[in-house]
Amino acid sequence: MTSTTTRTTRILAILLPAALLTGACGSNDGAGQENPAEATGEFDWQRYSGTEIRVSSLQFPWQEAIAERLPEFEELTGITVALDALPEEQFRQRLQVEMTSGSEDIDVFATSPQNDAARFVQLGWYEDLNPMLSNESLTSPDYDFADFGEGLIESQTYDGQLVSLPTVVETQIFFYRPSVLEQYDLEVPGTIDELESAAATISEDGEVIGWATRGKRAAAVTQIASFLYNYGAEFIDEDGQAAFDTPEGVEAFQTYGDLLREYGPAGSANNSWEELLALFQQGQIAMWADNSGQVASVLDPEVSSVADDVEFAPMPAGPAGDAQTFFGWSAAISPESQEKGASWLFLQWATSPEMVEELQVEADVVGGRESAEFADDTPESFIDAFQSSLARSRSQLPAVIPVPEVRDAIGQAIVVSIEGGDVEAAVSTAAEEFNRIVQAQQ
Amino acid sequence: MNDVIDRHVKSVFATPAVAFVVLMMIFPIAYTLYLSLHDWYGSTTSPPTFVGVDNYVRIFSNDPRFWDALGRTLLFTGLAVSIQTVLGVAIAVLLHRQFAGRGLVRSLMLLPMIATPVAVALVWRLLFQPELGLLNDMLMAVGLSPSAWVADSSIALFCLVLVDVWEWTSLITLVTLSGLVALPTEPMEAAVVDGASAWQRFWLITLPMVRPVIVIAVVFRLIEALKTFDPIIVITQGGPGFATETLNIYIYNTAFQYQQLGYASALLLVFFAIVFTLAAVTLSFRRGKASS
Repeated sequence: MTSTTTRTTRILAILLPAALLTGACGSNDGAGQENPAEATGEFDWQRYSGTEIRVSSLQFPWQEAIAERLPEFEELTGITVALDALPEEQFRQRLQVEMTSGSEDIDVFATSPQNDAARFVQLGWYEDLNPMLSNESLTSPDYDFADFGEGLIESQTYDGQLVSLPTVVETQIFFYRPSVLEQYDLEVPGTIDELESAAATISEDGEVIGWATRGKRAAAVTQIASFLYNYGAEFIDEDGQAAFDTPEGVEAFQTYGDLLREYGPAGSANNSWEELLALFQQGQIAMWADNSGQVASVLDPEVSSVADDVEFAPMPAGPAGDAQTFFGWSAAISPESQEKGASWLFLQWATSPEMVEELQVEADVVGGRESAEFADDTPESFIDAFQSSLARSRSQLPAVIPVPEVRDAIGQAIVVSIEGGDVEAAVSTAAEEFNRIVQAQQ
Repeated sequence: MNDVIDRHVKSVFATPAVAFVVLMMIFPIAYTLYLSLHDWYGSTTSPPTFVGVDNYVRIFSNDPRFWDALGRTLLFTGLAVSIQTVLGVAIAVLLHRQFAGRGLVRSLMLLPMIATPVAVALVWRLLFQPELGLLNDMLMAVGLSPSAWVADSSIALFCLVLVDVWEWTSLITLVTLSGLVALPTEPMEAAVVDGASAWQRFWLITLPMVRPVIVIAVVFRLIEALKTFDPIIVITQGGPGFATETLNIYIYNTAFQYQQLGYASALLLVFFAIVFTLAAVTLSFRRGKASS
């Protein structure tokens, strides 16, 4: 009796506190050998030669492309970079454990300001980049920060702090296989109604899946945003309260779920982008909505069997509008880093005008610089769809502090809709949950 | 120096163990208790804020997700452990007989239990995959319609019970088997002489005699099943929606997705109390029966 319960005690209790143990004892002075913001003299890439930094990222095309080019950076600066990457969910969890424990191990990390920034700023997990950016000894005269465009810079700025630099800019994109549409004599859908009838036609044969998008709880929330906006609903009202439980909002949820249930792949409620990308690459899906960051993996003939059979369009419009939606990834510096100067040089190199264009041209990784050109062989339809979407795009997530938690609440209503349950009740429960969560944490 | 050691030899030998217990068990529990009375999001700049018993009040009055998760945890554990117990004991009785290749079969039985849980879960995840998985291929091969398996809210939890049963039935078998081997043969011989049928011998003699051993195995499984984590996080991550979100998964999300470390600590302690109570109740059942 005693031995079994003590054992339980130990296993149960050790998980959380053990992770926090170091945090309680950790120190908070992140000062390295010199305060980089006070650096003087000429700008010099070799200023921090001989140091070593650790970059932590999720696995995605940007990180793969940067990993290939690290030797260039190491030669340019003499800084050694250890880049580690995990799948998104595991990456987020490990980042949170390390940041909570005040670890000095992470110097640079990938972050999504829309999802993370409100909370991370509150927790003090971002180093303000402004002092380093404005120091001419640390920032190359060729950096051209304004090239990112005002809107994008604003999306990286919280309480006057520049929290991160944009690495990847994505919009929701409509991917389709022209050969399949041609086979059934279909036009590219311009509205959700047209999308539905096209999906119905394709799915009838059962050869290919007519339509797919994310159905997994939190992951699906970024993809339903365009449905909400284009059916005339919003995530939140001016007071930050849930506003998606209007009749228009319920219709958006209903349509999103109906389309997936009727024409989507089996088991949609467990599909995030990883699963759908694999199905699309295998040629099993005819039409797919996801973020434009997937373009690199879809166009890579080594991993995609549809690399020469894919075209792109903006997301089809709804009855109340044709807003498009965006999502972004950025890179930030940890305040606990002992190598902030070296980390800043890394950020600068990875988001320099040359590198952003190089990644865009050679790896189909689209960064946020207005000056950057696309490759000659990037499909024209992608460039059109991406640029026209970005120009009229809105955020894929509500601007509240506890984003991950409200994503789960909203996502639950999406799952109910996919499974054919009572959507109106599920949406109103989600809205109540949303308000409860936001109220508890403001 | 040597004198000091000699005089206090008992405490000197006990010190490492005591230090280990304090460091690895008592401190974490105390710190969890401390955090459970605070609001803390893991900030490196602001310390935890004291909120008294607010977190506990919230668990019992304003957290439907907790109660749903608790219900799922109990359902999962109840189903998994009862199926495992019945199957496990039955298999143990079978394996107790003499037959050719018994040693080999016994070893094979243990394989699911020995395999790495995460690897096992990944394999099951592939088997369950509705578009590409083997299970749907098998269903369709015999003319049945495919299922969404873990992507269907209404059966996802039962799929996870299936995985747990597959993986852990052999633990019950193993423990029961060792109990059977240790049984005295005299009562059995007496029963045969008295003309008891095979069923009577099993039900009235074998089972009561191995019951204390079975209860121990059940308690082990009960505790482990309540805390099941690896297969759920790998196969469904608590989804679809919240359909397989057990208490452990909910607490994990609260701590590591939502950063509510104070609230997660309170949840952990409540969860601990539940596991403790259930284990104690089951064990008292064994003692009560044994002494009667």
